[in-house]
Amino acid sequence: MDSYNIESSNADCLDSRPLKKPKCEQLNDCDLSPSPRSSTSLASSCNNIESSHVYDLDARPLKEVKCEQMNDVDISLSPPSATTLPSSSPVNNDRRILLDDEKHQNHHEQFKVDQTYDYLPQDYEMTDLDYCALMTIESSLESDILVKIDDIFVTQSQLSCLLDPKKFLNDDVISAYICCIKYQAHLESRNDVKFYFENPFITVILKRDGKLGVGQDGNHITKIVRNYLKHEMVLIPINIKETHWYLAIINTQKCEIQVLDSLCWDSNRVDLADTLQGLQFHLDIIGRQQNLISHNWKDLQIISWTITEQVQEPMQKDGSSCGLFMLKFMEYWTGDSLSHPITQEDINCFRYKLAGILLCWKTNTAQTTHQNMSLLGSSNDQKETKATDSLLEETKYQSLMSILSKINENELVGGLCDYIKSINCPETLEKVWVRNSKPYSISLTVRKLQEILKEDLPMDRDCLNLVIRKFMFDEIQMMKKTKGTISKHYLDTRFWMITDFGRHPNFRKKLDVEQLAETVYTRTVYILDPTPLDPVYKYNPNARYVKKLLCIAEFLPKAMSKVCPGSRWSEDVFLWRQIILSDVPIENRELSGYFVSLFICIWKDEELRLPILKDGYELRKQFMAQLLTYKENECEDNMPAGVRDFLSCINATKS
Amino acid sequence: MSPPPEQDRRLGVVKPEPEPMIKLKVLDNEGRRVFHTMRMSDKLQAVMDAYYAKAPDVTYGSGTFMFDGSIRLRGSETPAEHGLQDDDVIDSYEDL
Repeated sequence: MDSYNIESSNADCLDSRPLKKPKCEQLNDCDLSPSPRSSTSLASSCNNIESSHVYDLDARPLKEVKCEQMNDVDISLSPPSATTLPSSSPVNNDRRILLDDEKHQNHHEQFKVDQTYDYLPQDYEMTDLDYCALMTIESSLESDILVKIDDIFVTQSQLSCLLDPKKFLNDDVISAYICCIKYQAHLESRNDVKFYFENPFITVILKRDGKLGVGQDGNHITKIVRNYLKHEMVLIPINIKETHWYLAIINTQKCEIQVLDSLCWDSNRVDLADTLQGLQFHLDIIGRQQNLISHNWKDLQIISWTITEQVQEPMQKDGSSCGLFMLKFMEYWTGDSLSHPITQEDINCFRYKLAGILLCWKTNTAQTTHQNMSLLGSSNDQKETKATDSLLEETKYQSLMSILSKINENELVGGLCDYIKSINCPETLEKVWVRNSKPYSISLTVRKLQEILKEDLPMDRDCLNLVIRKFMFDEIQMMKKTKGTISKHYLDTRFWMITDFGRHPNFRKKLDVEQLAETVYTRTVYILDPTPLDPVYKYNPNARYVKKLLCIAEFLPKAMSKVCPGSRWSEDVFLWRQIILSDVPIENRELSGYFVSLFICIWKDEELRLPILKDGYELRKQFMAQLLTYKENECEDNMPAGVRDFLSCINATKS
Repeated sequence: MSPPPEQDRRLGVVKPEPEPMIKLKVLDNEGRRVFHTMRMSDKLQAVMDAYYAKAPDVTYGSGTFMFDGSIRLRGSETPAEHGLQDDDVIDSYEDL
């Protein structure tokens, strides 16, 4: 089974800022020298920090604590002075090592929903964070401002280009990412060469000034251009109206204008010429002024510098991703070459990744993302109706479905669980999302669903009973299809409640639920018990089950005669062979209910074929998926439309 | 909805001017200049509307209005909010 990779996303985080210089005391405590380090060492140090803190806190595997710790580390890491950018291959190697390491040490590592990006990820792998961002864009109103970074505001309609591979990148989206680049100190200054990242708006004004001229004393743009002189490399995004984006670099060390054009349209440089002309006007004004600041530019006659095409072969294979290429050029251009290779495949992924980066950017102050409720609808009612409305537009909708359909089931479930965890609106928490009233009513509120994902809480009885109902339904459906016979009969914990057994003070009620899979042919009772052995039963472990089996033996015939009055059931299960399976995973009590539900589901042909599970959280997530995909759910309409889409995609991947 | 001073103005009641008028200039990519005089507390939508009226080829509501090369202006804001002064220039350009 393909496991959902929480670890890898964490590894990615660590991996993609290999050069950050640890600054805070915490890190110093943990004996990190302040020099730039490789990702492996940094990662292991982080692990140390986490574990030490976790042990402080009563040695319980409290996820929240760990994650906060993780975040602290994130925040405290500052970009390095950047002397060595590692080539991509060692990074990859490190990552593989990391993954293995983490699997051993960090078995319980968990993703936190309200994480943010404070660095630009160098890989294109989608994380839960990114998926949530895509959902947010999809489910917001066109006029909703989803990204506010510095002076840049980006609305849903402007961001929608990130969902559709055929669309050009919007200029505000470009500006927002440029803001993110500016936050990366190691990109602003590489090998003591200072980079200036201009935004597309100023370029447009420069172009206008180039065409129309500038007054004697210059204007506000002159001030901006004056600032260029403090830098050695000025990167200017150039737009050919409604056609193309490319990057021009004023390389003052080589006295040349470098052009990075993913399509190599070297015959169309009119916009560049106008922009350079505008820039020249401003430089002329600055040159005439008395208070010329000292600068490292060899001369201010950039109009006479040669224009050199840096891309020889078109890299772009489609007609729409030029803006994305340009952003990556800005990020990776060193003055001579690109520090990382870029391919069309990378860029295709980058489009979706970019949504995640912008919406989850640390300095994004747009309200919606921080409550992170914007995700699949919303935790407040008013927003929810809005989201549903906007989802009615079918055209807009397909883009998301096309993304979702590419995601594997585990990732979908992971995204959904993160969404549910993030809900904090009291009203929404009381909403019933799953209900079935046959034979008796069980309702699960969002709050109960959330509790499934809290690792310090045991299984709720209603959840277990409902999931058993779901298994039963699935099996009946399957049997109808295959015309087979029912091989399993299910009892839920209500059986225990009716027999009044669960209330016996010596037994913790929900935890001691055993699965009894009985087959009349072999007359065997198998006992699969995932709970740790109570020391009371140290000398006779089987004694644990005697009382319960007696109880079952007593009540089962009664139940049978009640359910099927004509049946000739006269078995006394207490006289059957009893097999207590020993290869059952023994976990903590909190998890036992989840294991029981798993056993119920997979028990077949008197054998337990356990799937490979990464950790308890994985099990909880699968349980959640089972509950939410229950076809007889009477309250599906209470879920936001986005959640329902996730579910239909999960169902689609299953079939 | 509207504050009392505005009502007064509409009714033509002459009162000592509580705040000075400023003249703003919109300059677009085609070199069009559009002047508009307004109060510091008026909505910037007024100057934008004036621009759209003079530039029929620009779709109403499209484009960007920017002040000082970095401040994006919105119709719901006022000159006071951004510290705009008399004779300030607003750059306008169509969506890229």
